[in-house]
Amino acid sequence: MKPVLETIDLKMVYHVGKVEVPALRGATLQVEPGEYVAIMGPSGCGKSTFLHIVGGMLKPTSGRVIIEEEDLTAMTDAQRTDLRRRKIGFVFQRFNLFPTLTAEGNLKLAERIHSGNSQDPGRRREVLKLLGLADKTHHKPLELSGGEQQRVAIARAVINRPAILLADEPTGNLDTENSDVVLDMMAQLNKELRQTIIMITHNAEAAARADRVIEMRDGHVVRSNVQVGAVQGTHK
Amino acid sequence: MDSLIAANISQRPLRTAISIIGVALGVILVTLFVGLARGMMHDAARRQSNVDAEVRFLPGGNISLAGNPLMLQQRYADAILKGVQPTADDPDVLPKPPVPGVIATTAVGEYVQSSVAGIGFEMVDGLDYKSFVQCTHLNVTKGRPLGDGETPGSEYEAIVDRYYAESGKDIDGNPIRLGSRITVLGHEFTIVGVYEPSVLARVKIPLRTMQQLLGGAENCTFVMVKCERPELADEVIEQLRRYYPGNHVIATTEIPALYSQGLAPVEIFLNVVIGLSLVISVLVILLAMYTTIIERTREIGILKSLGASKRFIVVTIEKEAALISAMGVVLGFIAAVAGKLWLEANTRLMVDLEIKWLVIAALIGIVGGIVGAIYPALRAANLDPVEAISYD
Repeated sequence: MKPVLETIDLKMVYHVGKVEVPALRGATLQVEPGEYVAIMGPSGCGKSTFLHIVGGMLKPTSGRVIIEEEDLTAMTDAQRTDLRRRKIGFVFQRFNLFPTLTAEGNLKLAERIHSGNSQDPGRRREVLKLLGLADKTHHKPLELSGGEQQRVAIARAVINRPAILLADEPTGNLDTENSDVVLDMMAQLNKELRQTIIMITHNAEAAARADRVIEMRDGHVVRSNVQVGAVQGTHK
Repeated sequence: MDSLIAANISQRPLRTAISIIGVALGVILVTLFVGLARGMMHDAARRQSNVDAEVRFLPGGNISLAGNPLMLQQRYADAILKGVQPTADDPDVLPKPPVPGVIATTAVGEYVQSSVAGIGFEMVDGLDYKSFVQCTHLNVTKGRPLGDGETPGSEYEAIVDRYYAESGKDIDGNPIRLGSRITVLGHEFTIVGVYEPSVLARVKIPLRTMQQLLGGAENCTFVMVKCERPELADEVIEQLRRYYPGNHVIATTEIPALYSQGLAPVEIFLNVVIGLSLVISVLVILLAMYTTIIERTREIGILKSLGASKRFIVVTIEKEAALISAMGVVLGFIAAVAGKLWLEANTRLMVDLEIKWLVIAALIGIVGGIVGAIYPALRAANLDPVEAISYD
C-alpha cells in the first residue's frame, strides 16, 4: 500500500531580519492510509511548521512532501491551495470557527469551498450525527461549549472526505472531560471512516489514543514509533 | 458563501450602515443635482415656449434666456406692429412700415430673484396685460386681471399661476389666496388673480412697476410677436431681421433647444458632481472593506486553511461590497425621491428624476463600491495563511 503522506528530508529555515532560524532540519516520515499518528516533542521542535508544510500552508526551504502521489513541493501557491482544498482537513487548538455562522453554516461553507454549489446534505447529517452534533446544527459557536465547538471544527474538517486530517493541539483549549469526548470522536472517525489523522499534541493521554507516536526534536523526526511515556517534554 | 456575506453584513451593523449611507450620499448627489438642473431647465423651457406668439424679439449680444435685465427698448413692440414714422420728438428716425403678417406684439420684462421660499430662485414677469393676452392663451381663473401699473392702486398688484397659488406661501407664511401679499423685487405686492396655464414666469407684475423698480424706464427684456397664422412665422422672422438688424429674432419653437444648449455649462458642473460621487463611493467602500479585512484577518486565514482560492476570497469580498453598494443605491434612490417630493412641496424648484440618470447613479454607486473593494480584496487574498490564522 502506498503511503498517504511521505516527507523526505524536509527542511525549513525562517529568516528573522538577517538571522536564519532553522525550524526543520531534515524531517522524513511516512504515514499509511487510515493511520492515526500523534506527533510529540518539546515546544519549538518544529511540529507546527511540519504540520503547516504538510497542509500546504507553508512552502519548505527544501525537501519533498508527497500526498497521495502528488508532490506538494513542486506546486505553485495556487496548486497547493487546490490540493489543500481537496485532500486536507485542519483542526486547530482555537477551533477557528466562523463566529457569525451556525454549526451547519460552518460546514456548508467548507462544502462550498470544496465543491461549489453541489453539496451533500446526507454526508453532512452523517458527520454531524457521528460527532454528536445533530441537535446543535443551528447554534452559533458562542452558543456551544468548547468541546462542542471543537467537534464542529472536526466535522468541518472531515465533511469533504480529506485524505488527511491535520490536528494541531485539538484538546489544548479544552478541559479533561471535553478533551476525552473530542479524542473519542477522533478515534471513532479513524475507526469507522478510516480517516487518516496526524495530530500534534503535548498531551500524553491524547497521544496514547493514536496508533503510532512520532517524536520530533530540533527539527528532526527522531523516532517514528515510540512509546508515549518515552517522549521527553510531554505532560500527562 | 452567501450566508457568510449576509452574516458579515448583519454582524457589523454600524460599519454596514456607514458604508450604505456613504454610497447613498453619492447617489443622492448625482440624482438630485442632475434632477434639479434638468428639472429647472425643462420646466422653464416648457413655460417659455407655452405661448401663442410664434416669434421672440430680443436685444443684440449674447442670447440669454435666464432673465436679462431690461435691455430692449419697449417701443419695438409698437414699431413691429404699427411701423415707425418720424415724430416731433424724434424727427430723424427712419420710417419703417408695420411688419407684414404680425397681428399682436407685447413687451415683457423678466427678472430673476431669490425664491421667497429661501431655496433657489424664481422668475418674475413684468407685462402689459392687455397686449400680453393677445400673444398668449393666458386666462385669469380666479380674481381679476392684472392692472396696468399706472392707475393709482394698481402698481403693486400681481397675478400668479395655479401651481404658485397652490404651493406658495405669502409673506406671513400662510397659503396663497386672493389678497395675499408676496415679496417681489423687495416690495410687497398683492395677489389679485390666479391664471392658467403656466406661461413664462409664475409671478407677473405690471411692466411699468418693474421698470420703475429696476430703473429701466421704457425698456423690456424681449418682445413677443404673434403672427396672423403660425406658418407665417419664418417670413415674419426674416422681415424682422431685415427691418431691425443687430437684434436677435428667434422662433418660439427654438426655445427648448436653446435651453438645452444652455445646459452645456451645467453639464460640466454635473460631471464634477458625478466624479465626486464616484470618489465618495470608492473611498467609503475602500475604507469600510479595508477595516473589515483587518478585523477579519483570522477569518481569512480560516478560509485559506479550508482551501479557499484567492479568487474565492476576492469574489466573496467583492460580493459583500457590491451588496452594501446596492443597498446604498436603494437608500439613495429613496432619499432622492423624498428630496424631490420635499423640494417640490416646499419650494418652487422642479426635480426631474430621469431613468437614464438613475441608472448612471446606480452604476456609480455599485461600480464605485466594487472598485473600492479591489485593494482590500487583493490584500486579503494575498495574506499569508499561517500568519492570518494566528492573527489576534
